[in-house]
Amino acid sequence: MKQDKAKRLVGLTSFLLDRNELVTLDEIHAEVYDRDQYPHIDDAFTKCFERDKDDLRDAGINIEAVYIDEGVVGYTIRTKQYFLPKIPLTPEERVSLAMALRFLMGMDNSFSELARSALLKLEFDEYVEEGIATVACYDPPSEGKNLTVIVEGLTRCKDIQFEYHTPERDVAVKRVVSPYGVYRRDGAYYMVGHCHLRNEVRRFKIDRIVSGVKILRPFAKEPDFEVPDGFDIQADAGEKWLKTKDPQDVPAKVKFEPHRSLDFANKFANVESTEKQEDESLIVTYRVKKMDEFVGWLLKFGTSVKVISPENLVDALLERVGGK
Amino acid sequence: MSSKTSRWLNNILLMVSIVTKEEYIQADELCERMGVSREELEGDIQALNFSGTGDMTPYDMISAEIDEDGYVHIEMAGGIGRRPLKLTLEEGVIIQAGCEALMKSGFRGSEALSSALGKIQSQLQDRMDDVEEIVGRIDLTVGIDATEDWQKKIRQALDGGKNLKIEYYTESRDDFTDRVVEPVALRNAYGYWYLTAWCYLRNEQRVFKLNRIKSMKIVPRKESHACEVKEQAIGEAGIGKQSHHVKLVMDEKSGREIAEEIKVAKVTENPNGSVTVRINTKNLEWLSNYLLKFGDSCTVESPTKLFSMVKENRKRVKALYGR
Repeated sequence: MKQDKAKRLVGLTSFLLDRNELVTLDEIHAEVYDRDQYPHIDDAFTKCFERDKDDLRDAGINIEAVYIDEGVVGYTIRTKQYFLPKIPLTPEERVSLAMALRFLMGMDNSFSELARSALLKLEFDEYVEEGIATVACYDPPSEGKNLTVIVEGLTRCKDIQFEYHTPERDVAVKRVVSPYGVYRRDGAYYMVGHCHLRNEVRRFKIDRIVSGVKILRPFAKEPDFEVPDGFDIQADAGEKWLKTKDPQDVPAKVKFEPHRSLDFANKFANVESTEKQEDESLIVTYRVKKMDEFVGWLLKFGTSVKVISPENLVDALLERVGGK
Repeated sequence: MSSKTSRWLNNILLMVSIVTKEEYIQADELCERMGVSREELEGDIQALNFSGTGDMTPYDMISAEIDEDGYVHIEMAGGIGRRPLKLTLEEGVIIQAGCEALMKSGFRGSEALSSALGKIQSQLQDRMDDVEEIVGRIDLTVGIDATEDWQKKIRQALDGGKNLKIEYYTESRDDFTDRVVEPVALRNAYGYWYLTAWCYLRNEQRVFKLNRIKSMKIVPRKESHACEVKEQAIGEAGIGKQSHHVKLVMDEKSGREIAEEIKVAKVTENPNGSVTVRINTKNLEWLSNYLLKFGDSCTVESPTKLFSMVKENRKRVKALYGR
């Protein structure tokens, strides 16, 4: 942001808070705005003031307008609406909240920035020293900037635009998407939204966005879309997809050596049952949805995992290993 | 306005309230608390300096500076410094969505967290409907592994100042070792949980992946090795004496796959359409298994040790199925 605008917004906030009463546009013009730039109360000045008001509202600062007299409007910021009141938290509540927000701060993206400012505000009256960083989250910071804009689009219901890389076809295509929701799996972030190019709801992995993300119409005040009734982020996060039974799913039995027995969950197959053996190995019965990915996943365990059945899964696995 | 500007304004007003309250605060400490670089802080201070009412003399305006001793001074801030600005809609959303995800994963103090959330909700009042609508569209699921029992015990040990006796599987030796460790932190990365602890067996701080732990027992602690968490990114091996410089040649499709799965891999294209992949790792054992799925489309150029390991692993997998 330009410095003169920054100074003006801080100045306007500070002036209205300090006066703590209704002030007229004349006074605001005289006290806050640069005389050289805005010598008179004219269209240019009014436009600038309206924009500043909108900007402050977006930041959570409401300038209230009240009719004082015929044709005269008074402006004020109510301190009650501006300042964070003291929230009477018990010591236990304070500690667990501080721990939770510190945990989120490890995400190292736009969520962590928000968690930090929220924590600083909530700890303003009483700083919590306990529990610092004993439980923390760590996300790879690669998606930070794009996630910020996506969350903004999601919050304000604004269409966004970006270039997306499709690995299967190895091309980057420009897309316009109405962002409905965001989810996190295995430390990676995904967006679900209506893709204008394909005209359907799609999932996008955020680190496959190869350009910056832009709000398509940043200055239009109205939202660009409505989120459809019944939109369910959990369903779109792939859990429903994994849970639905499909006759095409291939049944498979796999044996995990004891040291791998906590590793059986994956994204490519449903777990039907698990059976602990006497030697502490584990036999897992799956319904496999994505055979190729499942085979690749099994191979990373080397010889610690063995396919018991079906035979064609064994064949696929050995063919994949190669080494003619 | 973009949320970037809104966040900037929020942060600058927050900074004013912190500096006003603390009276004497060093710039470096303020940077740490606000999570900004010194350069960003200096930019903010400059933007704040001489802001205020346009028609006044400089003496009536907010003055902001970092003095020679590194202390931050903000004067004439008047009302805006009294307390922080109320929570923004976005902050409300992260508190709600983040805490809900944590509570679902069995976070310690879930009950207290839930009642704290209730009190914060009442502060958000009229915006709570919006917060709830947006939170319903964000899912920040934390853990995917089946290690709740271990997490619980680690938290108990952390709280009670106890040690843990664990049976831990080490990939490089393909074996379990018994260790006594002093827990330092429980961390979540890439969807998995890790224990950072002082290891009495190796006499240094180590990171243990929870799903490699076979058994765990809480044991008393005689003396403390209390240490801070070394800020080493989980899962990334730094370049050190023991790290191996791996060079692979792969087809383009496999190269893309590896670039997506191993964030630290450096991929360059070759004139013949193949790609060269470079990875620094301390864990050749893990890599030698991981590369199996690429079959013949991946050739190990160096180190030769890895080449032999992959070859050997292929043989072993085939032998496992009697082929």
